[in-house]
Amino acid sequence: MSPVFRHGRLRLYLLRLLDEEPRHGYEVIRLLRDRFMGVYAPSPGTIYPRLARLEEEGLVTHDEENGRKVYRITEAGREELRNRGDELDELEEELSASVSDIVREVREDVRETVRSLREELTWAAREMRRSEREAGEEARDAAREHAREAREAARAQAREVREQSRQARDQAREQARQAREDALGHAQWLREEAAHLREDARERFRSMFEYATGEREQGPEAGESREGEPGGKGGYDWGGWLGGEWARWTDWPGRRSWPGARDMAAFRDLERLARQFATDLRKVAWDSGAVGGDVIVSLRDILEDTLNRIKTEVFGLHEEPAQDAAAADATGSADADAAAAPGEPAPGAAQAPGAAAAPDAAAATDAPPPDDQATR
Amino acid sequence: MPHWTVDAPTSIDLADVTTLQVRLIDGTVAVLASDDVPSVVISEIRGRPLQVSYDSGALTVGYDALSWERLLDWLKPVHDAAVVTITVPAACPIQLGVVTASAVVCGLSAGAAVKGVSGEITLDGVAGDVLADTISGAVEGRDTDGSVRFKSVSGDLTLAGGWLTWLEADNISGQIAADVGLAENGSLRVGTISGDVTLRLPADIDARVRLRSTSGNVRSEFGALRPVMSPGSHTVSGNLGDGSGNVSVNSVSGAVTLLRRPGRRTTPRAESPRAEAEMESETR
Repeated sequence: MSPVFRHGRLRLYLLRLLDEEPRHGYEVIRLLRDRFMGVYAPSPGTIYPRLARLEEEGLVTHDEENGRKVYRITEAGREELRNRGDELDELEEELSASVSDIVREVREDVRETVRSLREELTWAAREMRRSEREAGEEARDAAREHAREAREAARAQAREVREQSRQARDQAREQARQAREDALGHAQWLREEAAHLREDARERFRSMFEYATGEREQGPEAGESREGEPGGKGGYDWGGWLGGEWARWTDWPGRRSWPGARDMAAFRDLERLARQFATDLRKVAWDSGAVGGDVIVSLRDILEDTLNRIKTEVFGLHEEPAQDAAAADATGSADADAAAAPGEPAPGAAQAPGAAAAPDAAAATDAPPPDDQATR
Repeated sequence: MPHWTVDAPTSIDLADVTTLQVRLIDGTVAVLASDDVPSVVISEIRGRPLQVSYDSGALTVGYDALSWERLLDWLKPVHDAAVVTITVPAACPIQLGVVTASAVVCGLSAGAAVKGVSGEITLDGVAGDVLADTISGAVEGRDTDGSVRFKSVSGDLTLAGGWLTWLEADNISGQIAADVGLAENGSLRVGTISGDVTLRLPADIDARVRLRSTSGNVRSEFGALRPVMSPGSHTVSGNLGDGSGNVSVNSVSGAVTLLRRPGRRTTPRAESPRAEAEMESETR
C-alpha cells in the first residue's frame, strides 16, 4: 500500500465515501483516484478485500444491482465514523497533504532526473574533452613524428644538395685548375716564345754586332772617336756599342722614328695638339649632330689626306721608304750587308742626297741624338 | 459566474476547465493533468485570500488586482503565500505567473506558459507549446515534447528527455542543458552570453549544425562536424544525417558542448497526454 494511507485510514476513508451515498466498488476506486488527482489509484485487489472486511464487521452491506455490488453504509458504520470523527478530520488534512507530497514528489523526481542528467552531461563532456585531449596528443605526437620525418628528409636533401654543390665546386675547381694550367701552359708557351724571340733577337743582334764590330774595324774613324769618350768617362768598355753601333741601331731601317731622347716638351705639345684636335673634332661632330656613315667616310678620307699631308709636308716622310725599310727588315736578318745597302739610299735620298757611304752618312745625319745621349 | 475567496485550506471541484490562469506570489502551484473532475485544492494559505473564479470553463486563481502586468509590483516583501494544486484535463492550456513561488506542471498536452521571477519551474511530461520565462528561476523539464521557448536572465534550463520540434532558448548567464531528440525539420536555437550550453542529441539526428562561441570552447562529439576557421570566434559546423533540421548555438563566452547519445530513437513518443497510470507508476 502506498504511504498515502496509514494503517486503518483507508478503511475509515472507505466508510466516509460510502457515507455520502451507496457506491459500487469501481466508483470507490475512481473516487479515491480523484481524491489524489489521479496520482494515486488503488487497485481493485486492494479495495474489494477491504470492503469485504468492512462487511464482515457489519459496517457496510451490499446489494446486487445489474450484477454489480453496490455498497452502502450501515448504522454501525455511521457509528464508527462518528466515533472517529477527529481521526477523519485528520485524515482529510493528511490527504491534502498527501497531494502536496505527491506534487513535491513529482518535483523532487524531476529535479533528481535533471540533476542526474546534468551530472551525466558534465561527465560526458569531460570524457569527451579527455578523449579529445588524448586524440590531440596523439595527433600532436603524429604531427611531431611527421615533422621529425620531414626534418630528416629535408636534412637528407640538404646533405645531398650540399654534396652536389661540393661536387660542382670540385668540378669547377678542377676546371679552374685545368684552365689555370692551360693558361699557365699558354703563358709558358708565350714565355718560351718570348724567350725564343729574345734569343732570336739576341742572335740577330749579335750577328749584327759582329757585323758592326767588323765594320768598325773596317771604318774606325768614327767609331774610335766614340769609343774614347765612354772609356774616358767611366772606363767602361762599351765594346764600341756607343760608337758606330748605336748610330747603326738608331739608323736601323723601320726605326727611323724612334723617339730616342727627343725633346719631351715638344712631344707634350704635340700630344696636346692632337688631343685638342680630337676634342675639337668631337665637339664639331656633336654640335652638328649629323654623324652618319658617309660623314665618317668623308671624314676618314679628309683625315687620311691631312695625315698624308702632315707626313709629307711637316715630317717629310714618304710612303716608299717605309716599304723599303720593311722589305729591308725582312731581308736584313739574312744578310746585313744587303739590308744596309738598299736601306740607306732612301734616307739618304730624303735627308742627305748623294751620300754613298750609308753608315757614315747616317752617323752624320743622326749625330745629335747619340751626342745628346752621350753627354747626358 | 462562480467565485470563491479562499482564506483557508479548501478544495473546489469544477465541472469542466478549458483554460487556466494562475497568479501566485509565493508558495507552490502545481497543475496536474487528470481525466477526472477538475479541481482546485488550496492546502496552505498565508496572507491575503486567494481569489478563485470560474467562468464557463475559464478558471482563474490569483489575488485581487494582481494581473501579470502588475505582478512585479509585488516584489516587495512578500507575505502572500499559498500552496495550490489544480487538476485540469490534459488538453487545457494553462498560464502560470509566479514570483517566488515554484511551479510544477505535470502531464499537460496543450502546452503551458509559465512566467516566473525567481521561482523554479518544473515541467514533467508536458507536450505542446511551452513558454517559460524567468528572471533567475530555473526551468527543469522532463520528457518535454513539442516546442519550448525559454527566456531568462540568469535562469538555468534543463530538458531531460523529450522530442522537440522547436527550441528557442535565450539567457544571459544561466546554463542550458538539453538531452532531447529533434523532430524532422525541427530547430534548436540556443543563444547565451556567458552561460555554458550542453546539448546531447541522438546519434542519428538529421540537422544542419552550427555551434559558435566567441571566446568559449566549442566541442562536438559528432565526427561529421568540423571546426570552421573564422576570425574572432570558435565555430563548429556541419551537416548531420540529411541535414533537414537545424541546430544552432551562439554563445559569447560560454562553452558549447554537443554530445552524442548513442542508440537510435527512431520515433517520437506518442503524442497522447501522459496517462494517469503512467504517472502513478512513476510516482509510486
